[in-house]
Amino acid sequence: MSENEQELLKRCQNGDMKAFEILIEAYQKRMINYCYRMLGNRSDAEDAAQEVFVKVFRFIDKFSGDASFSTWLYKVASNVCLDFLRKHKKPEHQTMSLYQTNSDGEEFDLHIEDSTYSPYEQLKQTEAQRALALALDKMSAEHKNVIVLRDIHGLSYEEIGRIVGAAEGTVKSRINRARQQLQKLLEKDRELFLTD
Amino acid sequence: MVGKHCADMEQYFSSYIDGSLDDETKALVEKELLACEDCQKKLSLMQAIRQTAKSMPEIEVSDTFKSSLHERLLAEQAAKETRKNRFVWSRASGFVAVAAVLFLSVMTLSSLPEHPELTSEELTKQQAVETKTEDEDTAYSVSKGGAQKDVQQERSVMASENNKNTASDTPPQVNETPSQLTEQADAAMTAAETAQHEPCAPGALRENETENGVTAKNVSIENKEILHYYFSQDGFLEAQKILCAYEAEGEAWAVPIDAAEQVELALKGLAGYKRKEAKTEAIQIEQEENESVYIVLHAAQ
Repeated sequence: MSENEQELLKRCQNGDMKAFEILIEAYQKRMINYCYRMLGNRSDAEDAAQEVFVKVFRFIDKFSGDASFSTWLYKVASNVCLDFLRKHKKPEHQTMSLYQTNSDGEEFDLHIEDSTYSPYEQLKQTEAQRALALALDKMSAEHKNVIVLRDIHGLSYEEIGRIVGAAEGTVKSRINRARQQLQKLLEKDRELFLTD
Repeated sequence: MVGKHCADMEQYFSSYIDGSLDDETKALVEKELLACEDCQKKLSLMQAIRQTAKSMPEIEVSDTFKSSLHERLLAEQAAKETRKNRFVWSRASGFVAVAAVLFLSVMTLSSLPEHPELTSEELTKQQAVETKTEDEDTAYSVSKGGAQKDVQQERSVMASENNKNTASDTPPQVNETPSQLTEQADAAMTAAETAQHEPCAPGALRENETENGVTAKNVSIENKEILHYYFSQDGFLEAQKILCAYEAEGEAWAVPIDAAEQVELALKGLAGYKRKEAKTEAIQIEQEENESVYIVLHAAQ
């Protein structure tokens, strides 16, 4: 944590809500996107992310600083999302929406602007992202969690271990199994992922 | 067709793309990749999926999210204040009870002929000095009684949420008559006695007494907030007695979230010189309608 963050943390621990809002400003997008990838839609993701911040605020005085603040947030977020998925388990045939929802609640087709790709490549990449999102939705919550943390959010084995409460070796083998499962799910779409 | 050899190699692909293989295994995998087209295909797909994962689109933080979060934080801050005030009054009631006991002792002493020259104020000071010289065990038993009384009081508050006139919500009175003080002291002592004799044998939790809809026997502590405490053997037994007020059993107790802070302090206060190590690990907080925190005790050798 930077000195500024440590100062803000102290103020939060003394009950300063304004300081807490400043402290979490930098983490909001990351948390929403983590929840979004775990839960598959914006509405649930925002709700879950809010729950994460409220819980962290409630127990901010218990944060000792041994782990990084970011890891602690991910840990709470991971538990909130896994809990949500357990409580709202979908029937197997049901899949997530292919459409995204904007902040006004309007649905729109997923479209990613990226000038480094030709229109054909852009389309292919978008399709690959969709296929991946659908495949993630079919995975077990625990496997999805490690894929989101490792491959989408780029966290280390050690950080993931702290978040999911497992040893590094366990994390490594869980990631391995999750990637193999993902590979099987996406085998039929391999042409979307591989360059011509 | 995928041979057994390929299947064996596959287990290393994930670590290979993460760069976490040792040199020897990495060389083995690379040798295999040169020789097996099937392995090459599998690895390239795994790498491509990972690349796609890295490039997944992100959503932006909406203004609605920010304003809604602000409202929820305000509500949480208010709830925090309520919990804090309840705790302060509860502690204050405990101090009043102790003060009442001291006051009664002073009254008794002042009626004795050995110190006719002392005023009641001087007697109080003398009593305080004598209290300080008491041995550790006596001081401990006072602390234990106070802590257990708090748990008992908090429990009664939880049990009657809608009753705003519970004992722990009532600010301590500073100008009670001696008889009122006697009543308060008696009530406090009775509460402590009750807490001390709360049944804690296995099976004390009856089927219809549940926490969050499940009996403590079947309670899962995974993904809940868990507070770990490490005690000496003696401290462990004493801490068990406090937690018995919640009628759970075993090493994990489900405690209503409103009482958690108070229980935590009671345990710390109780442990005092007996605790070997205390570790608080906030893993996760179960936040449904009936919130609870799980407290796990460990008996340190």
